[in-house]
Amino acid sequence: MNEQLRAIAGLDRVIHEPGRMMIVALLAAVEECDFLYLLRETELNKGNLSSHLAKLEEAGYVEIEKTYRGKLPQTLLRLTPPGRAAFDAYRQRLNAALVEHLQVLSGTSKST
Amino acid sequence: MNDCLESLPHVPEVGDLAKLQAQMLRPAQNVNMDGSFELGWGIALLCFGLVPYLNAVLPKSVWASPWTAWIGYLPMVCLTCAAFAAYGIPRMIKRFITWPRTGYVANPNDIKLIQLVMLMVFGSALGFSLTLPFILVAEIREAISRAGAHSDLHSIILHGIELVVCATLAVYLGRKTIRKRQPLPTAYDAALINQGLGRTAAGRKCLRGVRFTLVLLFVGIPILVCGGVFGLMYLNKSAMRHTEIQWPQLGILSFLVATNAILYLMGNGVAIKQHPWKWLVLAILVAGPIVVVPAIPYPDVGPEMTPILGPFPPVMLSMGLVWCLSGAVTLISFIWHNPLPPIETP
Repeated sequence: MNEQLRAIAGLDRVIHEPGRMMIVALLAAVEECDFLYLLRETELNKGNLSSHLAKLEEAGYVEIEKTYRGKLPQTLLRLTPPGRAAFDAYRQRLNAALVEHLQVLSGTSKST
Repeated sequence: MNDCLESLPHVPEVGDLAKLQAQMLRPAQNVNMDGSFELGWGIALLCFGLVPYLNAVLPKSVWASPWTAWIGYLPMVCLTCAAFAAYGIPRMIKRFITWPRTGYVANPNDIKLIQLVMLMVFGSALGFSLTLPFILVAEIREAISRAGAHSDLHSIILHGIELVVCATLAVYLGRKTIRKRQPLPTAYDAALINQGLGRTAAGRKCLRGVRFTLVLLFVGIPILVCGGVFGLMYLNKSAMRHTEIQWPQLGILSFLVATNAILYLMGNGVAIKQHPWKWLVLAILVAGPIVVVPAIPYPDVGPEMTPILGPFPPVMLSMGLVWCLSGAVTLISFIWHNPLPPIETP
């Protein structure tokens, strides 16, 4: 297996799924948000979003807090420190894969 | 930039990174989607602009008592109102109008109330720390020239104590309030993408476009706006009630208007695509003061300062009004296009 494939194979599968990647990317850019915000921003349906959040919570990447705003229920979501670390590692892996691609690309362009 | 990234051939991961990047930028880009920042800043400008008019209208006993005069009571009250308007109005709009529609979100760089108070105290303490030494030096010189005056000694001691207190506060609060802003996490290493883009003809063209846009944004626009305002004010000098040109007045006014224009452009970075009429507002924001300055009477800010500071209150009022109107229209449009979601019982 070459370096390029190894970098891609090492990606965190919990985050790499497109729906979860969207959720984690959004949560990484904010301090905290609620379920409605994620629902609007990701454009996933409630069932999908709930199941993705459950998987992320199970992996310990997301903290879910059920609370009330006045009389209305509110579900607050935030990335845990291990979640943030996992996302940083994921981004670094993606960048590493990109470096490999660029090196291959420059090698082929030089040879032609 | 994202289109550029996706156009990079043979690198599928770039597409993922570009999507990731776009997703992560959304919360910061949507901060002013409801016009809350415009309303807050507009009301703050109105507060600043109203101070000299209130000074002229209200009875002197309100702010000119010996207890309150030394801190510039009325300007301080208006300054405090302005700071709290710029902070509180966007928070109120978000809490009662935006978040019930779009969902609650807390950005990492949002300033908290206690931080705002500390920042204001720090600003005031720093201002006094910088100005009090000049007053002290002048008083000491006068005391030396008129040896034996007890009232001078009391005043020097009082100002000395004030200087020590303000300097201590400024140093203490400065270390607490001036903090490095938390950088927004980015999905990719920009240098890496540039390196990749530079390898293809389309990528190089794209890079040139990005560089040109950056130069235009950070150098060109400020120069153009400032130059335009300055030029228009120069042409309109006869209407400014002074036969000779007041260069400091023109310069400071141009700077103020240009700064507001750039702030408006930056604050509406993404919203301006959805609301093209904001370009017209930008033009009114820049050209408005030139029309308003001669039309509205200047308040009396003292015989020495009126020639230079006189036109500031009307300019601030006109710009504050434009900011407020733009914010109100954006807010109404936001409410119109984002109805409240149905409430579900748990």
